Amino acid sequence: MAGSRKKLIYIVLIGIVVLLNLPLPGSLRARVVAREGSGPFLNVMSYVTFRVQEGLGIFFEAAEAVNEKEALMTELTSLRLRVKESESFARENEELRELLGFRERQKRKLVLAEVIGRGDTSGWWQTITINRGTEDGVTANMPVITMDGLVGRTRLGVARHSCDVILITEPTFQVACRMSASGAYGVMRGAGVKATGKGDVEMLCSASPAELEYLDKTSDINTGEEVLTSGLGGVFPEGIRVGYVKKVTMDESGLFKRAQVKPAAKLEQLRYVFVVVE
Amino acid sequence: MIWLVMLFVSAACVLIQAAVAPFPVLGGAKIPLLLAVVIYYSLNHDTGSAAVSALLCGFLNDSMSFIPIGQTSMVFFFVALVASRFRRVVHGDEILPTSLFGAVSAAVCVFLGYRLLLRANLVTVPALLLWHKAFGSFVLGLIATPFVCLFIKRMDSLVGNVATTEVIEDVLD
Repeated sequence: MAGSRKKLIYIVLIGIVVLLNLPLPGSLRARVVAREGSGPFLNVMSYVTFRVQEGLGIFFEAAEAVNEKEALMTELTSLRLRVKESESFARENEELRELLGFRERQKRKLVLAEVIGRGDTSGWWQTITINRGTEDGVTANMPVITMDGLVGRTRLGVARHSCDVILITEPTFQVACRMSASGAYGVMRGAGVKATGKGDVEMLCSASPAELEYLDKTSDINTGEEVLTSGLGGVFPEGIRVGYVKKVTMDESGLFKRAQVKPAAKLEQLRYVFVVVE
Repeated sequence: MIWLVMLFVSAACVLIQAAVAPFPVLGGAKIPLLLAVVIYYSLNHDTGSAAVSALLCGFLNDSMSFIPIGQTSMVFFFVALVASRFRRVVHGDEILPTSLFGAVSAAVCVFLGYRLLLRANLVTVPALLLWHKAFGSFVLGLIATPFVCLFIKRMDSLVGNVATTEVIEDVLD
Protein backbone atom coordinates (compact mmCIF):
# COMPACT_ATOMS: atom_id res chain seq x y z
CA MET A 1 0.00 0.00 0.00
CA ALA A 2 2.77 2.39 1.01
CA GLY A 3 4.66 1.38 -2.14
CA SER A 4 1.78 2.19 -4.45
CA ARG A 5 1.28 5.51 -2.64
CA LYS A 6 4.94 6.39 -3.23
CA LYS A 7 4.57 5.32 -6.86
CA LEU A 8 1.56 7.65 -7.18
CA ILE A 9 3.58 10.55 -5.75
CA TYR A 10 6.40 9.87 -8.23
CA ILE A 11 3.86 9.75 -11.08
CA VAL A 12 2.47 13.12 -9.94
CA LEU A 13 5.99 14.55 -9.78
CA ILE A 14 6.69 13.34 -13.31
CA GLY A 15 3.34 14.84 -14.35
CA ILE A 16 4.32 18.23 -12.92
CA VAL A 17 7.67 18.12 -14.74
CA VAL A 18 5.88 17.22 -18.00
CA LEU A 19 3.37 20.07 -17.53
CA LEU A 20 6.15 22.55 -16.78
CA ASN A 21 7.96 21.57 -19.95
CA LEU A 22 4.97 21.52 -22.28
CA PRO A 23 5.86 23.21 -25.58
CA LEU A 24 3.99 26.49 -26.24
CA PRO A 25 1.51 25.02 -28.77
CA GLY A 26 0.73 22.23 -26.31
CA SER A 27 0.11 24.58 -23.40
CA LEU A 28 -1.97 26.89 -25.61
CA ARG A 29 -4.01 23.90 -26.74
CA ALA A 30 -4.55 22.88 -23.10
CA ARG A 31 -5.81 26.38 -22.29
CA VAL A 32 -8.13 26.39 -25.30
CA VAL A 33 -9.55 22.99 -24.32
CA ALA A 34 -10.14 24.24 -20.77
CA ARG A 35 -11.89 27.35 -22.13
CA GLU A 36 -14.01 25.23 -24.47
CA GLY A 37 -15.14 23.06 -21.61
CA SER A 38 -15.81 25.85 -19.17
CA GLY A 39 -17.40 28.36 -21.60
CA PRO A 40 -21.01 27.14 -21.40
CA PHE A 41 -20.85 26.82 -17.60
CA LEU A 42 -19.36 30.29 -17.23
CA ASN A 43 -22.20 31.59 -19.42
CA VAL A 44 -24.77 30.09 -17.10
CA MET A 45 -22.94 31.30 -13.98
CA SER A 46 -22.68 34.80 -15.42
CA TYR A 47 -26.45 34.85 -16.01
CA VAL A 48 -27.13 33.53 -12.50
CA THR A 49 -24.76 36.11 -10.94
CA PHE A 50 -26.52 38.90 -12.81
CA ARG A 51 -29.93 37.73 -11.66
CA VAL A 52 -28.72 37.25 -8.07
CA GLN A 53 -27.45 40.82 -8.09
CA GLU A 54 -30.85 42.01 -9.23
CA GLY A 55 -32.43 39.83 -6.56
CA LEU A 56 -30.14 41.24 -3.87
CA GLY A 57 -31.29 44.73 -4.75
CA ILE A 58 -34.90 43.65 -4.29
CA PHE A 59 -34.03 41.96 -1.00
CA PHE A 60 -32.52 45.12 0.46
CA GLU A 61 -35.50 47.17 -0.58
CA ALA A 62 -37.93 44.63 0.82
CA ALA A 63 -36.09 44.59 4.14
CA GLU A 64 -37.19 48.18 4.78
CA ALA A 65 -40.82 47.12 4.80
CA VAL A 66 -40.37 44.47 7.49
CA ASN A 67 -42.41 46.37 10.08
CA GLU A 68 -45.43 46.80 7.85
CA LYS A 69 -48.38 44.49 8.00
CA GLU A 70 -47.56 41.00 6.83
CA ALA A 71 -50.14 40.80 4.09
CA LEU A 72 -49.32 44.23 2.78
CA MET A 73 -45.63 43.45 2.79
CA THR A 74 -46.09 40.21 0.91
CA GLU A 75 -48.18 41.96 -1.71
CA LEU A 76 -45.79 44.87 -1.89
CA THR A 77 -42.75 42.60 -2.22
CA SER A 78 -44.44 40.55 -4.87
CA LEU A 79 -45.33 43.70 -6.81
CA ARG A 80 -41.86 45.13 -6.39
CA LEU A 81 -40.42 41.87 -7.59
CA ARG A 82 -42.46 42.12 -10.74
CA VAL A 83 -41.64 45.79 -11.26
CA LYS A 84 -37.93 45.21 -10.65
CA GLU A 85 -37.96 42.24 -12.97
CA SER A 86 -39.61 44.22 -15.74
CA GLU A 87 -37.34 47.21 -15.01
CA SER A 88 -34.35 44.91 -15.30
CA PHE A 89 -35.61 43.54 -18.61
CA ALA A 90 -36.43 47.03 -19.85
CA ARG A 91 -32.94 48.26 -18.91
CA GLU A 92 -31.33 45.29 -20.61
CA ASN A 93 -33.54 45.83 -23.66
CA GLU A 94 -32.64 49.51 -23.81
CA GLU A 95 -28.96 48.74 -23.37
CA LEU A 96 -29.03 46.17 -26.17
CA ARG A 97 -30.90 48.62 -28.46
CA GLU A 98 -28.24 51.25 -27.81
CA LEU A 99 -25.51 48.73 -28.51
CA LEU A 100 -27.21 47.67 -31.72
CA GLY A 101 -27.46 51.29 -32.84
CA PHE A 102 -23.80 51.87 -31.98
CA ARG A 103 -22.75 48.82 -33.98
CA GLU A 104 -24.72 49.93 -37.03
CA ARG A 105 -23.17 53.43 -36.89
CA GLN A 106 -19.62 52.04 -36.91
CA LYS A 107 -17.51 51.72 -40.05
CA ARG A 108 -15.63 48.82 -38.53
CA LYS A 109 -17.07 45.32 -38.21
CA LEU A 110 -17.99 44.72 -34.59
CA VAL A 111 -19.03 41.54 -32.80
CA LEU A 112 -21.18 41.96 -29.69
CA ALA A 113 -20.02 39.86 -26.74
CA GLU A 114 -21.18 39.31 -23.18
CA VAL A 115 -18.79 39.33 -20.25
CA ILE A 116 -18.95 35.88 -18.62
CA GLY A 117 -16.00 36.06 -16.24
CA ARG A 118 -13.90 38.66 -14.44
CA GLY A 119 -10.23 38.19 -13.66
CA ASP A 120 -8.30 34.97 -14.24
CA THR A 121 -8.32 32.22 -11.59
CA SER A 122 -5.14 33.56 -10.00
CA GLY A 123 -6.16 37.21 -9.73
CA TRP A 124 -2.72 38.42 -10.88
CA TRP A 125 -3.96 39.89 -14.16
CA GLN A 126 -6.71 42.40 -15.02
CA THR A 127 -8.81 40.43 -17.46
CA ILE A 128 -12.36 39.55 -18.42
CA THR A 129 -13.70 36.51 -20.26
CA ILE A 130 -16.20 37.04 -23.08
CA ASN A 131 -18.50 34.58 -24.83
CA ARG A 132 -17.12 35.02 -28.34
CA GLY A 133 -14.35 33.01 -29.99
CA THR A 134 -12.94 31.78 -33.27
CA GLU A 135 -16.40 30.68 -34.45
CA ASP A 136 -17.42 34.36 -34.40
CA GLY A 137 -14.30 35.52 -36.20
CA VAL A 138 -12.40 36.56 -33.07
CA THR A 139 -8.64 36.02 -33.04
CA ALA A 140 -5.80 37.10 -30.77
CA ASN A 141 -4.89 40.80 -30.34
CA MET A 142 -8.20 42.24 -31.52
CA PRO A 143 -9.36 45.49 -29.89
CA VAL A 144 -12.30 45.26 -27.51
CA ILE A 145 -14.42 48.39 -27.01
CA THR A 146 -17.67 49.71 -25.59
CA MET A 147 -19.68 52.73 -26.67
CA ASP A 148 -17.62 54.79 -24.22
CA GLY A 149 -14.16 53.72 -25.31
CA LEU A 150 -11.38 51.15 -25.39
CA VAL A 151 -11.65 48.19 -23.02
CA GLY A 152 -8.63 46.08 -23.98
CA ARG A 153 -7.52 43.45 -26.45
CA THR A 154 -8.10 39.73 -26.90
CA ARG A 155 -5.35 37.45 -25.74
CA LEU A 156 -3.58 34.46 -27.31
CA GLY A 157 -5.43 31.16 -26.92
CA VAL A 158 -8.86 32.12 -28.24
CA ALA A 159 -11.30 29.21 -27.87
CA ARG A 160 -14.18 28.48 -30.22
CA HIS A 161 -16.81 30.18 -28.09
CA SER A 162 -14.91 32.25 -25.55
CA CYS A 163 -11.73 34.22 -25.06
CA ASP A 164 -9.84 36.32 -22.54
CA VAL A 165 -9.50 40.08 -22.84
CA ILE A 166 -6.61 41.97 -21.24
CA LEU A 167 -8.03 45.20 -19.82
CA ILE A 168 -6.41 48.59 -20.30
CA THR A 169 -5.95 48.74 -16.53
CA GLU A 170 -3.50 45.81 -16.64
CA PRO A 171 0.02 47.17 -15.99
CA THR A 172 1.46 45.07 -18.84
CA PHE A 173 -1.06 46.55 -21.32
CA GLN A 174 0.32 49.21 -23.66
CA VAL A 175 -1.32 51.22 -26.42
CA ALA A 176 0.00 53.93 -28.71
CA CYS A 177 -2.10 57.08 -28.26
CA ARG A 178 -2.67 60.53 -29.72
CA MET A 179 -4.17 63.61 -28.07
CA SER A 180 -7.29 64.78 -29.88
CA ALA A 181 -6.62 68.54 -29.61
CA SER A 182 -2.87 69.01 -29.21
CA GLY A 183 -2.00 66.07 -31.47
CA ALA A 184 0.82 64.87 -29.19
CA TYR A 185 1.73 61.21 -29.40
CA GLY A 186 2.56 58.89 -26.50
CA VAL A 187 2.35 55.37 -25.11
CA MET A 188 -0.23 54.52 -22.46
CA ARG A 189 0.25 51.87 -19.80
CA GLY A 190 -2.36 50.49 -17.37
CA ALA A 191 -2.03 51.21 -13.66
CA GLY A 192 -4.33 48.59 -12.12
CA VAL A 193 -7.53 49.19 -10.19
CA LYS A 194 -8.08 50.61 -6.74
CA ALA A 195 -10.73 49.76 -4.20
CA THR A 196 -13.08 52.72 -3.87
CA GLY A 197 -16.41 51.14 -3.07
CA LYS A 198 -17.89 53.28 -5.85
CA GLY A 199 -18.20 50.44 -8.33
CA ASP A 200 -21.05 47.97 -8.46
CA VAL A 201 -21.49 44.94 -6.21
CA GLU A 202 -19.33 42.78 -8.45
CA MET A 203 -16.21 44.89 -8.51
CA LEU A 204 -16.30 47.53 -5.74
CA CYS A 205 -13.42 49.22 -7.47
CA SER A 206 -12.56 51.71 -10.15
CA ALA A 207 -9.73 51.92 -12.62
CA SER A 208 -6.66 53.85 -11.50
CA PRO A 209 -5.66 56.57 -13.97
CA ALA A 210 -3.43 55.05 -16.66
CA GLU A 211 0.01 56.51 -17.35
CA LEU A 212 0.56 58.18 -20.73
CA GLU A 213 4.28 58.63 -21.34
CA TYR A 214 6.69 60.02 -23.94
CA LEU A 215 4.52 63.04 -24.83
CA ASP A 216 6.31 65.89 -26.59
CA LYS A 217 7.51 68.26 -23.86
CA THR A 218 6.63 71.31 -25.95
CA SER A 219 3.05 70.21 -26.60
CA ASP A 220 0.19 72.10 -24.96
CA ILE A 221 -1.91 69.42 -23.28
CA ASN A 222 -4.95 70.42 -21.25
CA THR A 223 -6.81 68.62 -18.52
CA GLY A 224 -9.92 66.91 -19.86
CA GLU A 225 -8.48 66.50 -23.34
CA GLU A 226 -9.60 63.37 -25.15
CA VAL A 227 -7.04 60.62 -25.72
CA LEU A 228 -7.44 58.45 -28.82
CA THR A 229 -5.58 55.44 -30.23
CA SER A 230 -2.98 56.58 -32.77
CA GLY A 231 -2.95 53.39 -34.84
CA LEU A 232 0.85 53.33 -34.68
CA GLY A 233 1.23 50.18 -32.61
CA GLY A 234 -0.34 48.03 -35.31
CA VAL A 235 -2.82 46.36 -32.94
CA PHE A 236 -5.40 49.10 -32.46
CA PRO A 237 -6.96 51.03 -35.33
CA GLU A 238 -6.73 54.81 -35.23
CA GLY A 239 -9.33 56.95 -33.51
CA ILE A 240 -10.74 54.75 -30.74
CA ARG A 241 -11.41 56.81 -27.64
CA VAL A 242 -9.21 55.67 -24.74
CA GLY A 243 -9.91 58.22 -22.01
CA TYR A 244 -9.50 61.76 -20.79
CA VAL A 245 -6.45 63.57 -19.42
CA LYS A 246 -6.65 64.00 -15.67
CA LYS A 247 -3.26 65.51 -14.87
CA VAL A 248 -0.18 66.52 -16.86
CA THR A 249 3.35 66.56 -15.44
CA MET A 250 6.89 66.83 -16.78
CA ASP A 251 8.90 63.62 -16.46
CA GLU A 252 11.74 63.66 -13.91
CA SER A 253 14.24 63.34 -16.74
CA GLY A 254 12.88 66.54 -18.30
CA LEU A 255 12.83 64.87 -21.73
CA PHE A 256 9.09 64.35 -22.12
CA LYS A 257 5.72 65.00 -20.52
CA ARG A 258 3.56 62.37 -18.91
CA ALA A 259 -0.18 62.42 -18.24
CA GLN A 260 -2.62 60.55 -16.08
CA VAL A 261 -5.51 59.29 -18.20
CA LYS A 262 -8.90 58.32 -16.81
CA PRO A 263 -10.24 55.43 -18.93
CA ALA A 264 -13.41 56.38 -20.83
CA ALA A 265 -14.98 52.91 -20.63
CA LYS A 266 -16.72 52.05 -17.37
CA LEU A 267 -14.59 49.00 -16.66
CA GLU A 268 -16.22 48.27 -13.32
CA GLN A 269 -19.65 47.89 -14.91
CA LEU A 270 -18.88 45.89 -18.04
CA ARG A 271 -21.61 43.56 -19.20
CA TYR A 272 -21.56 43.86 -22.99
CA VAL A 273 -18.55 44.72 -25.14
CA PHE A 274 -17.68 44.79 -28.85
CA VAL A 275 -14.76 43.02 -30.48
CA VAL A 276 -13.41 44.95 -33.49
CA VAL A 277 -12.92 42.12 -35.96
CA GLU A 278 -12.12 44.23 -39.03
CA MET B 1 -14.99 6.81 -6.33
CA ILE B 2 -12.47 9.18 -4.67
CA TRP B 3 -11.24 10.27 -8.11
CA LEU B 4 -14.74 10.89 -9.39
CA VAL B 5 -15.60 13.15 -6.46
CA MET B 6 -12.21 14.88 -6.79
CA LEU B 7 -12.79 15.51 -10.47
CA PHE B 8 -16.31 16.82 -9.95
CA VAL B 9 -15.38 19.09 -7.04
CA SER B 10 -12.26 20.45 -8.78
CA ALA B 11 -14.24 21.24 -11.94
CA ALA B 12 -16.96 22.98 -9.93
CA CYS B 13 -14.38 24.96 -7.94
CA VAL B 14 -12.43 26.15 -10.99
CA LEU B 15 -15.65 27.40 -12.58
CA ILE B 16 -16.69 29.31 -9.49
CA GLN B 17 -13.17 30.67 -9.00
CA ALA B 18 -13.12 31.85 -12.63
CA ALA B 19 -16.59 33.38 -12.53
CA VAL B 20 -16.30 35.28 -9.24
CA ALA B 21 -14.49 38.59 -9.65
CA PRO B 22 -11.34 39.30 -7.63
CA PHE B 23 -11.73 41.46 -4.53
CA PRO B 24 -9.86 44.76 -4.93
CA VAL B 25 -10.42 45.58 -1.25
CA LEU B 26 -8.42 42.43 -0.51
CA GLY B 27 -5.58 43.23 -2.90
CA GLY B 28 -7.24 41.58 -5.90
CA ALA B 29 -7.27 38.17 -4.22
CA LYS B 30 -9.43 35.39 -5.61
CA ILE B 31 -11.34 32.90 -3.47
CA PRO B 32 -8.83 30.01 -3.12
CA LEU B 33 -11.34 27.24 -3.75
CA LEU B 34 -8.94 24.95 -5.64
CA LEU B 35 -6.40 25.25 -2.85
CA ALA B 36 -9.14 24.33 -0.38
CA VAL B 37 -9.71 21.13 -2.38
CA VAL B 38 -6.00 20.28 -2.09
CA ILE B 39 -6.10 21.05 1.65
CA TYR B 40 -9.09 18.76 2.06
CA TYR B 41 -7.41 15.81 0.36
CA SER B 42 -4.19 16.45 2.26
CA LEU B 43 -5.91 16.50 5.64
CA ASN B 44 -8.48 13.78 5.04
CA HIS B 45 -6.98 11.30 2.58
CA ASP B 46 -3.64 9.64 1.91
CA THR B 47 -0.67 11.55 0.50
CA GLY B 48 -1.13 9.96 -2.94
CA SER B 49 -4.65 11.42 -3.27
CA ALA B 50 -3.37 14.75 -2.01
CA ALA B 51 -0.62 14.74 -4.66
CA VAL B 52 -3.08 13.88 -7.44
CA SER B 53 -5.46 16.62 -6.27
CA ALA B 54 -2.52 19.07 -6.32
CA LEU B 55 -1.67 18.08 -9.89
CA LEU B 56 -5.29 18.28 -11.05
CA CYS B 57 -6.22 21.52 -9.27
CA GLY B 58 -2.94 23.17 -10.28
CA PHE B 59 -3.49 22.23 -13.90
CA LEU B 60 -7.07 23.54 -13.87
CA ASN B 61 -5.96 26.78 -12.21
CA ASP B 62 -3.21 27.37 -14.76
CA SER B 63 -5.30 26.44 -17.78
CA MET B 64 -7.86 29.10 -16.81
CA SER B 65 -5.17 31.67 -16.10
CA PHE B 66 -2.03 33.12 -17.72
CA ILE B 67 0.29 31.28 -15.34
CA PRO B 68 2.66 28.84 -17.13
CA ILE B 69 1.04 25.41 -17.01
CA GLY B 70 2.43 23.24 -14.22
CA GLN B 71 3.58 26.05 -11.96
CA THR B 72 0.57 26.04 -9.65
CA SER B 73 0.66 22.22 -9.58
CA MET B 74 4.17 22.52 -8.17
CA VAL B 75 3.08 25.04 -5.52
CA PHE B 76 0.00 22.97 -4.61
CA PHE B 77 2.15 19.83 -4.48
CA PHE B 78 4.40 21.51 -1.93
CA VAL B 79 1.34 22.56 0.13
CA ALA B 80 -0.10 19.04 -0.14
CA LEU B 81 3.12 17.46 1.13
CA VAL B 82 3.35 19.87 4.07
CA ALA B 83 -0.35 19.54 4.89
CA SER B 84 -0.13 15.74 4.76
CA ARG B 85 2.57 15.91 7.43
CA PHE B 86 0.09 17.67 9.72
CA ARG B 87 -2.74 15.20 9.05
CA ARG B 88 -2.48 13.69 12.53
CA VAL B 89 -2.35 17.10 14.24
CA VAL B 90 -4.87 19.05 12.16
CA HIS B 91 -7.87 16.81 11.91
CA GLY B 92 -10.01 17.46 8.86
CA ASP B 93 -13.22 17.56 10.91
CA GLU B 94 -12.24 20.52 13.05
CA ILE B 95 -13.32 23.80 11.52
CA LEU B 96 -10.87 26.23 13.13
CA PRO B 97 -7.61 24.35 12.43
CA THR B 98 -8.77 23.57 8.87
CA SER B 99 -9.69 27.20 8.41
CA LEU B 100 -6.34 28.42 9.71
CA PHE B 101 -4.48 25.90 7.61
CA GLY B 102 -6.36 27.05 4.52
CA ALA B 103 -5.65 30.70 5.34
CA VAL B 104 -1.92 30.23 5.90
CA SER B 105 -1.62 28.03 2.81
CA ALA B 106 -3.42 30.62 0.68
CA ALA B 107 -1.02 33.35 1.81
CA VAL B 108 2.01 31.08 1.27
CA CYS B 109 0.73 30.21 -2.21
CA VAL B 110 0.57 33.92 -3.09
CA PHE B 111 4.21 34.43 -2.11
CA LEU B 112 5.44 31.22 -3.74
CA GLY B 113 3.40 31.82 -6.88
CA TYR B 114 4.59 35.40 -7.12
CA ARG B 115 8.21 34.33 -6.67
CA LEU B 116 7.88 31.94 -9.63
CA LEU B 117 6.03 34.50 -11.77
CA LEU B 118 8.68 37.08 -10.99
CA ARG B 119 11.41 34.65 -12.04
CA ALA B 120 9.58 34.15 -15.33
CA ASN B 121 9.27 37.94 -15.64
CA LEU B 122 5.50 37.72 -15.99
CA VAL B 123 4.28 39.85 -13.10
CA THR B 124 5.83 42.67 -11.09
CA VAL B 125 3.87 44.26 -8.28
CA PRO B 126 4.92 46.58 -5.46
CA ALA B 127 5.71 44.86 -2.14
CA LEU B 128 2.76 46.56 -0.46
CA LEU B 129 0.32 45.17 -3.01
CA LEU B 130 1.86 41.71 -2.65
CA TRP B 131 1.31 41.78 1.12
CA HIS B 132 -2.18 43.17 0.59
CA LYS B 133 -2.98 40.31 -1.79
CA ALA B 134 -1.47 37.75 0.60
CA PHE B 135 -3.57 39.16 3.42
CA GLY B 136 -6.65 39.04 1.18
CA SER B 137 -5.94 35.43 0.30
CA PHE B 138 -5.45 34.69 4.00
CA VAL B 139 -8.90 36.11 4.81
CA LEU B 140 -10.60 34.38 1.88
CA GLY B 141 -8.82 31.09 2.69
CA LEU B 142 -9.98 31.42 6.28
CA ILE B 143 -13.57 31.72 5.14
CA ALA B 144 -13.66 29.39 2.12
CA THR B 145 -11.62 26.38 3.24
CA PRO B 146 -14.01 25.00 5.91
CA PHE B 147 -16.99 25.34 3.56
CA VAL B 148 -15.23 23.53 0.73
CA CYS B 149 -13.95 20.83 3.10
CA LEU B 150 -17.42 20.36 4.57
CA PHE B 151 -18.92 20.08 1.10
CA ILE B 152 -16.42 17.49 -0.13
CA LYS B 153 -16.70 15.60 3.15
CA ARG B 154 -20.46 15.38 2.63
CA MET B 155 -19.96 14.17 -0.92
CA ASP B 156 -17.36 11.66 0.22
CA SER B 157 -19.71 10.39 2.90
CA LEU B 158 -22.51 10.16 0.38
CA VAL B 159 -20.54 7.87 -1.93
CA GLY B 160 -18.79 6.03 0.91
CA ASN B 161 -15.26 7.38 0.40
CA VAL B 162 -14.62 8.65 3.92
CA ALA B 163 -15.51 5.44 5.74
CA THR B 164 -13.28 3.35 3.44
CA THR B 165 -10.33 5.71 3.83
CA GLU B 166 -10.67 5.86 7.60
CA VAL B 167 -10.68 2.06 7.84
CA ILE B 168 -7.55 1.83 5.67
CA GLU B 169 -5.81 4.53 7.72
CA ASP B 170 -6.70 2.69 10.93
CA VAL B 171 -5.33 -0.55 9.57
CA LEU B 172 -2.12 1.18 8.48
CA ASP B 173 -1.73 2.79 11.92
